[in-house]
Amino acid sequence: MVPNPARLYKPDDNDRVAVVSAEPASSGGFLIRVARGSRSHHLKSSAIFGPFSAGELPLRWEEVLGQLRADGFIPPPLGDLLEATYRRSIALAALRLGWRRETAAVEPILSILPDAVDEVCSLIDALGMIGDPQALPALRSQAARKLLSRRRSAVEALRRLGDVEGVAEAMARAREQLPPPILLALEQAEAERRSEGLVQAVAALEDRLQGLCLDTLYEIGNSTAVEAVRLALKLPKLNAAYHWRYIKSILKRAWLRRDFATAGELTHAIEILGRSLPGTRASVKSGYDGKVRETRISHRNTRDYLRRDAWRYLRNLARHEPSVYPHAAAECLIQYGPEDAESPSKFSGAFARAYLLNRILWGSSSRIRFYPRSMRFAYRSAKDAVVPAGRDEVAFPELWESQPVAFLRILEAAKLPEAHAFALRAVTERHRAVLEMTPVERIIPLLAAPYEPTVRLGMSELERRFDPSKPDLALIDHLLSHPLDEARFLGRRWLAHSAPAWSAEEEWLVAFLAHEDPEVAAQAAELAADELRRNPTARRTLASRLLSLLRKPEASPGAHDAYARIARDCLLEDLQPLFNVRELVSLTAKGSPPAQALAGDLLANRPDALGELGLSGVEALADHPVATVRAAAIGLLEQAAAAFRSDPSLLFALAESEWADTRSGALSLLQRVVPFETMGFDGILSLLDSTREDVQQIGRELAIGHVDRIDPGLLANCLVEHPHRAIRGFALEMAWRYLPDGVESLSKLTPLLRSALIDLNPDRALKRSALHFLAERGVRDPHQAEVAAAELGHFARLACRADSEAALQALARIALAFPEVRNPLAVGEFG
Amino acid sequence: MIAHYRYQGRSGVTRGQGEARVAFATNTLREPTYFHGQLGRPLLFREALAALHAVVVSDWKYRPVDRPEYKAYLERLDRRFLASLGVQSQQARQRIEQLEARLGELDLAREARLRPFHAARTEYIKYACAHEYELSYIFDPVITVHPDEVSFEAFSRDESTYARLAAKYELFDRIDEYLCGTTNIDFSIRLHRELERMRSYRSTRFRIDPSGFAVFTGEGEGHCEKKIDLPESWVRGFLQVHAAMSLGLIRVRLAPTDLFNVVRTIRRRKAKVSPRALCYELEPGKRARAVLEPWGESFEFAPGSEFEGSKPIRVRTWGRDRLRALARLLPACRSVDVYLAGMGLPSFYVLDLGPLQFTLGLSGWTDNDWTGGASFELLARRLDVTPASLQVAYDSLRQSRFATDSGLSQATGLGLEATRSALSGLCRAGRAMYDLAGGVHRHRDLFADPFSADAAVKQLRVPAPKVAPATVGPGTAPIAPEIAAEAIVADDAIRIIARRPVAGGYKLSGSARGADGKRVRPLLHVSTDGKIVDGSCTCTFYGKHRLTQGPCQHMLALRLAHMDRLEGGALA
Repeated sequence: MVPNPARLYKPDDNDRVAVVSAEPASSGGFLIRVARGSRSHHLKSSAIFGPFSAGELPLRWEEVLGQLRADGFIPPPLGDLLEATYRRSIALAALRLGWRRETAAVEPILSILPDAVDEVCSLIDALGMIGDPQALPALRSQAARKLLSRRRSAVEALRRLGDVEGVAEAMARAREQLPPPILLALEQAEAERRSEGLVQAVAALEDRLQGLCLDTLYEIGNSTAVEAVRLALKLPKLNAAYHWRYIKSILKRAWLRRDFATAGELTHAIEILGRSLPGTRASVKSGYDGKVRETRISHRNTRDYLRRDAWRYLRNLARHEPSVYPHAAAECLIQYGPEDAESPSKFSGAFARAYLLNRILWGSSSRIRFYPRSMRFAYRSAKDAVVPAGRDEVAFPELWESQPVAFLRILEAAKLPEAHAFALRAVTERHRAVLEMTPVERIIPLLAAPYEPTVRLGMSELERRFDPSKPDLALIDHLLSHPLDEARFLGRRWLAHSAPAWSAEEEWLVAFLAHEDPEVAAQAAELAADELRRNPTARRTLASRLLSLLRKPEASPGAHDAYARIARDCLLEDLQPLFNVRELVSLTAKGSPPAQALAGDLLANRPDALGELGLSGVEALADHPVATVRAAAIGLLEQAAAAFRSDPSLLFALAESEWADTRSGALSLLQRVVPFETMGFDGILSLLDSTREDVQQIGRELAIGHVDRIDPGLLANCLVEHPHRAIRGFALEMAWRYLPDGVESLSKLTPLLRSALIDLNPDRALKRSALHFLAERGVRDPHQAEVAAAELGHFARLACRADSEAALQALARIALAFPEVRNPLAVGEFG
Repeated sequence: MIAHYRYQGRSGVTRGQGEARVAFATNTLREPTYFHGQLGRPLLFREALAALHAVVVSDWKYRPVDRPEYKAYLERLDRRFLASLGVQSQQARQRIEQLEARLGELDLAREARLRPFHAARTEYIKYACAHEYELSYIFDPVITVHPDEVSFEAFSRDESTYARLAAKYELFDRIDEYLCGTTNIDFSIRLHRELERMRSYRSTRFRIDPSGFAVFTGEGEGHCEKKIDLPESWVRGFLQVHAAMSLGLIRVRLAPTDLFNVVRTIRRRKAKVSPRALCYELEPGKRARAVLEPWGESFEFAPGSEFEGSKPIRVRTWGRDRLRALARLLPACRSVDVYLAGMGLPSFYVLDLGPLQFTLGLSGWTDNDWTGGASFELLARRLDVTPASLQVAYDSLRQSRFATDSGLSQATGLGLEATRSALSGLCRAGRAMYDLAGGVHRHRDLFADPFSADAAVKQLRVPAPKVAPATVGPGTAPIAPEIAAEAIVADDAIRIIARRPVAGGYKLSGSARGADGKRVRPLLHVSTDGKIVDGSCTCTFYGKHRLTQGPCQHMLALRLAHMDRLEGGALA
């Protein structure tokens, strides 16, 4: 590779400038040309060395430069540094030297550092970047200064120089500066390796202290503190007074520290600020002279400066640390998402105001032009809006190609399809090997990419790695527990494909069956059911494992469903010995609903339960809200059938249960087991008295079946008081057949007859037979006629024509049979 | 307002061979109140409690039906239609038909497969309703033990229906002991089912006391606790009902079959267009008639329903579906007294069941709870009540437990008007109630906290939150009508023109000038016992709302001016 021309400088000579360049020789190889003059544009004399072969060229190049340095030539920035009169020039020169890691500049910088004022930070930054240990004493003294900017540069420089002792001292000082609650929260967070508490502690601080606190935490710089700072920076306070200053400070620290992730997040956040929020004004204390004055906070100029500075930083990285540039650029790229898009116009793309995105992703494009005043990018012409197919317009493409791992970072975290397309093309066309060597943890995020080809790439790579006959079970387990839905879905698919493999390994079998995700556990149970039936050891292990899980309270409703299902499908026999009856009853009372259902199944197969619980215990179970528990109770009642022959009171109580299955079980037992002698009239009446139709039906069947053994008249007398409309017909029929003739029994029937006729949901047949009954009884004797006529008088006024006419006819019959009976209706009343 | 109920036991019914026990558990956070006796006519009591339960759980408020499945079905049809427009090929059409037929089969199969699930889900919902609904939503009735009766008062879920069941002591064969007072009772759906099993062939013990039937929890005997978010409107509704009852009401007596015929038609026919009123047409000396709108179906009531008023009246009432709550009582009922306040105003149905009286109060219309529309207390009699007179009236009523206004006036030494105002105040403060069937005021502490006359007077003076927009001019802030009325009286802008005796009372006419400067002519019809029977005014507010939004400021001002005269003894 041909080196770039180098310019050297000698202040006290007539030929102040020497330019060294390499050029191809006509005879092959390379020539090295050294030109001298008073200025770089007025070079008078030149000397040529060579030709040299390509391999020899770098060595000779260094020799020539060494010779010139020996003659007193120095690099130009150093010259600027030594000769400049303006502090800004000194600062810029120092930074250039720093980027170049010019060790020769260390002594000059150290010599001017004591007298430096505004340029101190740049000098310290340069010393840090050069990395010469002789700067350590000066840097340590600067790190102890009170002024934030000096301290910041010095601490970061010490960190770059690897000065453990100096950094430790600085960290101790930083911790002292933290407010006590933050320090406490930091120590706790460090111990727990969780930063959420620390973030909350910072958020609880007084508003004006939060920014400083975050900057100090970032200065401390351990992983917990940095994570907390990055979480806290997501809070929407960036452009507020007492925040903005420290946001800038953290960004500068991130750049110096090469913390590209934090720097990427912050630069993107600042860019968003520039688009949406205006700046503010506030009276704040100056970091420069300590005076309080009204200051513009987060002004557009500052924000634009920072946006440009971010790209300047990336460019410097590309020039001086080319291997690092793609990683830093990738961290910036992944911050952009569809939310950054705006409505495109003829000449402006959707991302016209996304400064850094344009610089990085379309930096070498000739289609796009930058307008500095508005910080916007626009197409040179309307036809330039069309993206050339298959061509990358990325800045510094050769640097990306040299670091293909950076493409993977984009694929795993980018939110923009444009970024994905760029990285995907590189990976699929030129760097497939990088993907194939990447650990699986970095491939899984590809499944959640917002770009379909990236998802397909991730899937195909994972599929490539999966062998159903020799599956990576740890990978499957990892996928099954992954927070991404796509990963879990893939894991479940693989779980199904690799069932023969994992179901043969007891450890994995138990692990999948007792998986924290109930759906996975249920699927595993289905897949492994056959294997479980064959493998008693696995069943036993799993049974005890599930038992411990089911005894714990449910983390969320339904969390125990799968465990109970597995247990009920495959493990009942193995679980039986692990419980005694009392424990099962306790589980029915206090366990989760699935555990209660399991307990019900287990109880159903415990013949000893009846003896231990007694009938009263079984009665309680029969009213349990879980169906299997009730089924178990009914099963136990069946065992105690003999006892009900003499005392069926429990069955009568359960026949009134609110649960249909319990009622059905109890009624079935009553019908099959309990003899009429035990049940008697009262038992049948009790069933008929019920408000539930299924119970009434059984009572009706029993009453009809034993009508010759009970007093039907008494039963009819009782039934007429029943309020349920389903029993009225039966009651009237019984009354008609079995009640003795006479006014007394007719009077008793009047409530029933009224209920039948004055009913909003009437039974037409019942009404008809009620009116017929009254008409029949009304003509038997004058006493009954009087009662019937009074009732019919009411019914004749009903708006239902059929009822009214039937009542009138009956009244007419009564009037004809017994003219002396008072007619409740007057002639003409209906006219 | 969060209402706390704490029951040591649960209300319930136990049955033996020949005896049953009905026990109502009372709220232990209220004053101790109990009643022990033996029911003489349990069937009647059963039917009455069933009607009370029907009122408590009823909710007739209109809620638009949200039918997402139906909407999705329509969208599907729409999409299919649009898609079919683009299908030209006969082959493709046939294929679509085949697929749709197959889809139909699959849908049917899915439905069959899910049937057990749907059945189980329905069962679960029933279970949840039975167990959770009542704990969260059923407002337990208020029970009051009086020296002559035990009464149960309740509001429906939609707060538009009030029910009061008064069980006279004649209902009981034997009364063992009782302590007068007011409390809540545990009233659940389960209890309703158990009450259905009361029979006359078993002697039925009736108990109201804190213990009820013991509740057993896992750890032994426990208690049942409810915390219900009792709407302010529910509480205010209780107060408004009695204010409405004390208005001068028109009474019509019906036979039970008359009311049944009306309710039966309402039950059988669904009115799909307005108006949906139940219109009473009353002509002096003639049998009353009712017309069901919009069908115009009319019912002439049985003999005995003759109207005793002096001039024909036509009163339209709305929310007639609520009468269905009375279904269980009609077969056992002897007569029904209907009390009407006026068009769109509340109506009351008092059912005579012999030893039981059941009062059903209906607000003007279903969506209008008792507090949402008219403020009836504004029409009720109201002199300024002093804390001392209120305290005297309260103490005397608490001692006697029930009294007529004249009886209480004699007992307290307060004037008749002052006593009526104090009783009106006590009703509005929730410390007394008006028994429409008995025509007496009864002591009833609606609130658990002790009575404070000062606090009650302060509460009475707080103007009703209701505003009458038509009473104010454009650009001015709306004000409560009673405040406007007081301002009219204070400005001396009201003048009583005439006090003309009419049958059953007198009519007051006046001239008032409101805030807008216009002079209007309010008119009030007051009964002999001081109740406002009717009112009218020539103002815009009355023209627009009649009395459905309460009286206008001019009528109130006329009433206040009249009260001042009464207080001064000029007209008393």
